Amino acid sequence: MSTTTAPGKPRTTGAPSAPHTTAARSHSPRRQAVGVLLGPFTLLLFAVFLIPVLYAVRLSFFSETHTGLGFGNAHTTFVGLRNYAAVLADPSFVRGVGTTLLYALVFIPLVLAGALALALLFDSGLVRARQLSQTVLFVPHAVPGIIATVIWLYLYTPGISPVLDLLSKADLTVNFLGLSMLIPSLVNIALWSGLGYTAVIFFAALRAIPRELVEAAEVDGAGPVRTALMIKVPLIRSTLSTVAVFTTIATLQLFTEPMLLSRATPLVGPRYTPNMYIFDAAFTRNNYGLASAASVLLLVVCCALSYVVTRGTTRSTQRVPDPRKARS
Amino acid sequence: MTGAALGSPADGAAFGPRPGRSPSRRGVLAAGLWTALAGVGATACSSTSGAQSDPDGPVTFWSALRGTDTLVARWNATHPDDPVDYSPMTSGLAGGNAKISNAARAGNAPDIVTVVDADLPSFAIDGVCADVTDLVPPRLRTQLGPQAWTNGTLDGRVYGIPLDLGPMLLAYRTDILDAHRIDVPTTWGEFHDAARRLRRRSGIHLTTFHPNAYNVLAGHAMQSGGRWFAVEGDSWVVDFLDEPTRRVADYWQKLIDEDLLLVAPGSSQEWMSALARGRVAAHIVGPWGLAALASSVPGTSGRWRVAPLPQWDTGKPVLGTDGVSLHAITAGSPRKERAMRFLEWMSTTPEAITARLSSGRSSLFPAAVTQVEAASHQFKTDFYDGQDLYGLVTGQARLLRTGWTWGPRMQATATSLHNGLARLSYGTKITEALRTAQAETLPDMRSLGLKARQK
Repeated sequence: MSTTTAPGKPRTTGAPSAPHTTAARSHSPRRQAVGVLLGPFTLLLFAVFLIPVLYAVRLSFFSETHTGLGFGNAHTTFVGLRNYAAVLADPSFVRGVGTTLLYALVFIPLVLAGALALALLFDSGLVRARQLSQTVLFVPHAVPGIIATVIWLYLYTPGISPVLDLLSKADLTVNFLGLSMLIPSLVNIALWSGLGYTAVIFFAALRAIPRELVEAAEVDGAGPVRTALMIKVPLIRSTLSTVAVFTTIATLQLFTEPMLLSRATPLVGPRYTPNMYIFDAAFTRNNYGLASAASVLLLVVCCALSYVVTRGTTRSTQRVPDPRKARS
Repeated sequence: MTGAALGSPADGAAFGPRPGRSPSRRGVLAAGLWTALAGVGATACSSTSGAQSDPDGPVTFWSALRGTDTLVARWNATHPDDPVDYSPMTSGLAGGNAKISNAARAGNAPDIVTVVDADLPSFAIDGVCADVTDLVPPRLRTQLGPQAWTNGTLDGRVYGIPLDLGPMLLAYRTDILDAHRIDVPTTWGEFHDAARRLRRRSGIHLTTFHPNAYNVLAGHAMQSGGRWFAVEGDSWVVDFLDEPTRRVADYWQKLIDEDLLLVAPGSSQEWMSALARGRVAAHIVGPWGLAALASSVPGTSGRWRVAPLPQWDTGKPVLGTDGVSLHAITAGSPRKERAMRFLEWMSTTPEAITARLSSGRSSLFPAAVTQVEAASHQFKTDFYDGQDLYGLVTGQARLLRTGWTWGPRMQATATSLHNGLARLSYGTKITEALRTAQAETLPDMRSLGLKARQK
């Protein structure tokens, strides 16, 4: 997310100050201003993104290698696609991808639909004490993922969980850390922390819709539900798809929650998701080549996904005629 | 000595490697950054002991074994001109292994490290452990038997000096077996019958199957003649389902299916409480685990005894190893000769083992015959009704099988196996867990460039 917001910032904050800071010293103050304002961003982009990525790509091709049994003959050589082949042939990586996809399939529709519904409710004015309820919804997002998972682990663990205690008094036993409940338990944690945040973004987009459009719809006889679905939702479509991209990418990088769950139940192994696989390859298996190859694969998938969704979004927003213009 | 100190996988599962840094869940760039962090991690974890390159500096020594402090203090008191600088370390799975690897990569590893037998191939392949074959003094070579050297030798070369021996034993509750008129089983057939009768008469489980104890399963495979990793020429042959291992897996599967065993993770609350309440009557473990058991369930003191592990064929008794430690000299050490002198003293002299075990909380069984007598005076066997444990283990150690080889990434293999075994209660079979673990071990080996094939 940081990459997409960062380039925007210098432009908006820098505009008023640009003329007088550079005019005195430069022939082309505009160009220099651009340099000064984009410099820090470019520097950081290279330092914390491009160079590490290139280093990872290099590591994935050049790897510590051995011959035969491997005792005492390690040397670094070009190994071509060997690490990629190993990652893709590793059943634990493939299973991790499958687990993540299943999780994404459950989580993404839930969080998007849930957040949209909440945002529409707020926007419709049906909810009283809107500010307060928004804050309450948003608060879980301020809780770091690790803390959130610890809280939920406490609620999931039989013997210490007050929720499970209550349920057992009603003769209900639910094993939140059982095999079939793992994904629902993970989705629950992610929804808890992500729903309010996403709803706030959608709500902000809804507030930006000109009121006269909504009023016009009401005048034309559309009820609140029809207005929401036919007028409001199409108007915030670009926000919807942007959030969808970020949610998808965050989902592909699922790490913190299952990492902590793996401490609580052996059913979550150390290679439960692709990101955990990378962590395990680098720090348990000491295989940086393998970790790099898996990282690059994940990065490629994330980039491709962002590209596809971004392209799709820009095209669809171009095709849809701006209703404001159409009206006026 | 706790299980964790010996790098018991059982404890590792509970206190495994902690995530050093947790990436932002939303970090779009995290994937690329991970590897950069990996690179940083290699240098960030530097040793505190300086002057690593000075051949005349003190010998540096990292260990997670309990009692190393008193051991080193003893050496320093008697060898003031040749000091050893000891730093405690967390056990292998709890971060110790990563620390050693990173230090070696950064060039500031200590001269000596303690490693668990299963981790030795990994360190040897990564070039952390030096090949010390030509440094081993003849006297040391003869004082440790073949049952010990097999743990420190890879492809005919010595990479680690064995400290102890780990013949698997059967600790059992005398009161429970007596009350239900059950004899101590000497064969696995009798063991099965005993488990059946005990369960029927009292509901008590004879022993526990730990889904997080690859070492115990491997120990059973060792005993029955299995061979998970074999070396043929210049290639690794991986076979977790050879005929002997399959027999062991099917045997334990049958006991589980008949509900004769408590299936609970090692060091879990569930298991500890079953032991304390007398719902489990026996525990299969190496010598080191006897002290750990005594400190885990002190309330049952005096009601336990230790018997030899049952055999498949009493005519040809053989035993597997459970969790032994080795001391390796690092490849970059400029003080290898002095380090070896210290290791020889440590592994063979009675004064060294006395100093190491002086806390009285360890039942480690030394590999050197010269140390057994001294060691036996340190551990009080009240918990085992005053039984002569070192006498028993001395006899059992002679039955240890030689020639077992651990894999080049054993902890990763182990976690794969544990992950599969954790699904036992969901219908996964032990053989399936073994098959998956093998499938997940091979890609790793191949990406390291090792020649590896399946049987």
